[in-house]
Amino acid sequence: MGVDVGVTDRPRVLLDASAEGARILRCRAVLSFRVLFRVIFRVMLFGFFCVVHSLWAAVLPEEKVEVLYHQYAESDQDINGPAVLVQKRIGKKYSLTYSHLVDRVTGASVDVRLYASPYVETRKENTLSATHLFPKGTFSVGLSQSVENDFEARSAFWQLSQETFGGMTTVNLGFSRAWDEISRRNDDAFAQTADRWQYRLGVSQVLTPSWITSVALETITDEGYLNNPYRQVRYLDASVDAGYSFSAEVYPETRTSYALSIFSKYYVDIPGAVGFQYRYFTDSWAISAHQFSFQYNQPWRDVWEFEGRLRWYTQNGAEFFSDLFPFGSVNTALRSQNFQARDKELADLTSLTVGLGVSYTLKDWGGKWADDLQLNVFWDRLMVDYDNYREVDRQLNVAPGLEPLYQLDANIFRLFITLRL
Amino acid sequence: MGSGMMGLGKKQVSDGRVKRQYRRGARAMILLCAWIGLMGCSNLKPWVKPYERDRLALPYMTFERHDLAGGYMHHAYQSREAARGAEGGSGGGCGCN
Repeated sequence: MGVDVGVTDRPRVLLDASAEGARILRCRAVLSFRVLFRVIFRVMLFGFFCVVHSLWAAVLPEEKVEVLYHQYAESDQDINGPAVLVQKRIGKKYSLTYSHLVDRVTGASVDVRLYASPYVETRKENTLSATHLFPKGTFSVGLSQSVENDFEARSAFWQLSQETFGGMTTVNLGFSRAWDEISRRNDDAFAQTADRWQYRLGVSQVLTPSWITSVALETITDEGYLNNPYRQVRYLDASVDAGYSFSAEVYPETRTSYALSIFSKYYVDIPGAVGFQYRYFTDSWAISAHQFSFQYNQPWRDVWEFEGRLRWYTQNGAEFFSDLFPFGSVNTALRSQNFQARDKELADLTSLTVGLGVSYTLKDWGGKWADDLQLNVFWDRLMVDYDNYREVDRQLNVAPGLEPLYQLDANIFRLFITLRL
Repeated sequence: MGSGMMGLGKKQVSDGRVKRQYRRGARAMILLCAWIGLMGCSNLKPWVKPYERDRLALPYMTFERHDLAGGYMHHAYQSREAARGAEGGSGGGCGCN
């Protein structure tokens, strides 16, 4: 079944002059588009303040405290931890939101297990944002920081939300700027950085008294060190018994991606709500993806709510991905590609997620201090099938490139309580 | 990299393709801007009145209802898939943020 996806799959990024030239042209085009996008974005922002002045009043985020426990469980990896979110209004025009999330990672993914031992690490993420309400919209600014022992990400963001057309249309503009610092355990000399720019544009439209739809466009540009410093590529090596060896991944230092989403939600007279989403994604690494999501919400007896979700996702991997290269990245004279990756997230893959959720509301639970208390349990089953990424097991005596294709199954739990103030 | 550029003429077939894509993207953005601008001055009247939006204001009619749990799922997908961006719906509910 998998014999055809071996050594020679994807020899697409060749180091000859025309391929290199085309790549340079693509990079220039991406840079030009980025400049154009920035200009249009600023013009729109200016136009936003000048043109859009209509009816309807926007609202601040609701006041609440949310405490969550999450768990992501794969066969050899477990990520869990607590999270908390506090959202509080200050006067009638301002609101503050703070969230704190902890990820405790134990184990190692299938590729890291091949050349490194399982590990334990903790990631902590803090986000603080403020929202200002003005007559027809809201403006939010915020800061976020995520810290691990070998990775630190900081970001600043703003979002403008404006209602128009009698409150039937909501336009959103958003921008984020992020700075990453990457280090490597047991290697004090290793220090790299990456920068990121995110631009978001969204329009939400009321279509009928029962139907609302939304379109969102987001472009993200990265520049800097975009590898995982531990992940390695596999290449054919006749000098060792296994027939293959590993060497460091080599990634491009820029990436620009575009994502377009269409959401729709429809009220059904059971009563309940049906939701649908389609998302298209493409980027400068030649990855393209399609996603379809379906959601159904069913309230019952005013205090219960049930939710069912189905999500299907498929992607064509990066042009410089291969499960098994003819030469390693160290041998720059012989290797057939200037960039090499064996990160399974960059492979050809299809995933299916099935999810269920139950919420129960205790009405007027908090007396004079709070309003409702809601208890929530959400579970999702993620199943990923890889088309050109193989499960390599050193114990099995299988020729390189003939190992079975990898499959990933994970259970994702979120248990949380929401106290509305 | 330098040697790759040496043999490259300024007029390339792919150059034209890239420029076409670039122009197409620019045109789409300008049309979008024009549409948003025109919405403010057209004669089209809002056809769903505020008092008709009670269904849209129901909690389960919002696109992204649970901030923490929804954000966590986006993070989980981003760590297993290459796609990123435009995950959540903008606005939702009664069309009032």
